[in-house]
Amino acid sequence: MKIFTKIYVLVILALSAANVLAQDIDPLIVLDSAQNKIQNIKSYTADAEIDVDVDFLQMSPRKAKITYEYPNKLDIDTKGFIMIPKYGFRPFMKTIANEDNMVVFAGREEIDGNNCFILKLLPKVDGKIVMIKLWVRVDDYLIRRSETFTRRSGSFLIDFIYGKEVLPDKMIFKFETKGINMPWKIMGNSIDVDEDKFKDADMKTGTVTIVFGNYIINYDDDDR
Amino acid sequence: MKVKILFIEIYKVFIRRRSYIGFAAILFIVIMLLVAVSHEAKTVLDFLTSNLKDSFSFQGNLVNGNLYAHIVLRSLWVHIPLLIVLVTGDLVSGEYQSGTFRLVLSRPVSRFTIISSKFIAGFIYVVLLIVFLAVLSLGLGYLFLGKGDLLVTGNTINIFESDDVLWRFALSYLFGILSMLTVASLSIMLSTLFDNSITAILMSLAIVISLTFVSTFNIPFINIIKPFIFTTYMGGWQSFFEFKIDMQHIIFEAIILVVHIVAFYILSLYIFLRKDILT
Repeated sequence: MKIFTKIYVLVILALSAANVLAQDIDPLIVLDSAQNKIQNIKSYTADAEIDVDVDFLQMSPRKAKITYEYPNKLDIDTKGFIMIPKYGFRPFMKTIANEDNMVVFAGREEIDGNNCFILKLLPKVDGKIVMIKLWVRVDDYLIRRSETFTRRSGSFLIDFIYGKEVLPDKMIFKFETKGINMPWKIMGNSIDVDEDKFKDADMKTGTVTIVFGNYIINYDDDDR
Repeated sequence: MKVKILFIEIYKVFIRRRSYIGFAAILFIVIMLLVAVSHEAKTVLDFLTSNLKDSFSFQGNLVNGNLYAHIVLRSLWVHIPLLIVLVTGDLVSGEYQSGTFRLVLSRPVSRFTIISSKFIAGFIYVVLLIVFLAVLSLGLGYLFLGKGDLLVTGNTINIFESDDVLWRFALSYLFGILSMLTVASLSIMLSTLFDNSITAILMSLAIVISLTFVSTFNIPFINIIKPFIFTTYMGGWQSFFEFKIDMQHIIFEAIILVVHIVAFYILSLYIFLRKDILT
């Protein structure tokens, strides 16, 4: 009987300790720390190479010059045509920076050797974004991964891979999207086309990889 | 003497008004397409990418001279053979009909030289027509719509950088010239066979249209005979607008077309050498 009592006490202690550890993490503090990292960057320029990988679209990687100014000004200067995921930049930054979110701590996870806190951000105001799940690195509070759930456009997963800067060297967007609409009648019938490939009922998955380089962070006008 | 005969044949091709019908038709269609593309292409591209717009922001202009030149190429490719046979179908039969062969052949000129000169004159006409199409569509496109990345729709949407486009157009037009030379050779052969120009032209049109029709069908029975129809290989120019170009396949298609051209030429020679000129 004594043994059972001891085991019971040990289990209760272990559960209490785990509970205390979980409760120690204040999601607002984690989010604040992550926000500070972003908000400390008033401006930056960077060279970027954008590579789109979707099965219904083929294009070679494009080079662009990206200029950002706090809070919401983003210019992408490129010679040709580029496609950029909509929820990668402005709406994502805007939602994270917004203080009017409900934040929930959702545990910890290790991603490629990075120990991360998981936060769930639930915007209180009805918008395009339903929820953002954030993986924030324990060591430096940099966002390692985000998953954005939208009302109409499925979900987007973004992996942020860092080098020396507080801004990522590489961003990998994984997304679901509908196919493309093919206006068959005006495209001519002289080519063999597999029409099933274009049926837009199914969601397609794709990846956009952006590799950044030559960052100038918080630049003066002379730096540009 | 042979060079002189060749120049006379070239002169005969370009002195006739009907030789300019093709140029005029291309000019008309190209201008119409320019108006259509500058007004409608954005709507079409918006429709094409409407599903993606929820997820992506687009930057850059895809309605440009390269898109226009590609649309012209794709739209006109089926119709250019019709314009070509109007001229090449009349090259030999026109002279049967007008009775000029009796006069020409009474002089020391070989039948081989005459047929060869007619083939070369016909080929020069075809090359000039395609060069006219190329210069006009790219020239007008760049002038009015500017340069930019090229969007091509096929089994996937391919977007080529503007610097990566001109060589593709050049090779496509070269392949196109080869395809059109095949059509011209067929019609010159039929022109050698029939004494009446109208019959030769209509017969050429009927063959080209029906074979093109058959080669675009996708029915198992027809797929068996497709490899034996030269029109099946005429669309090979489109392969240059893919990221992975199957050069072996393109060379194979080009060889098939060259074999047809040589075969039609030899058949024309055979028919003309044995022909009794009675008109």
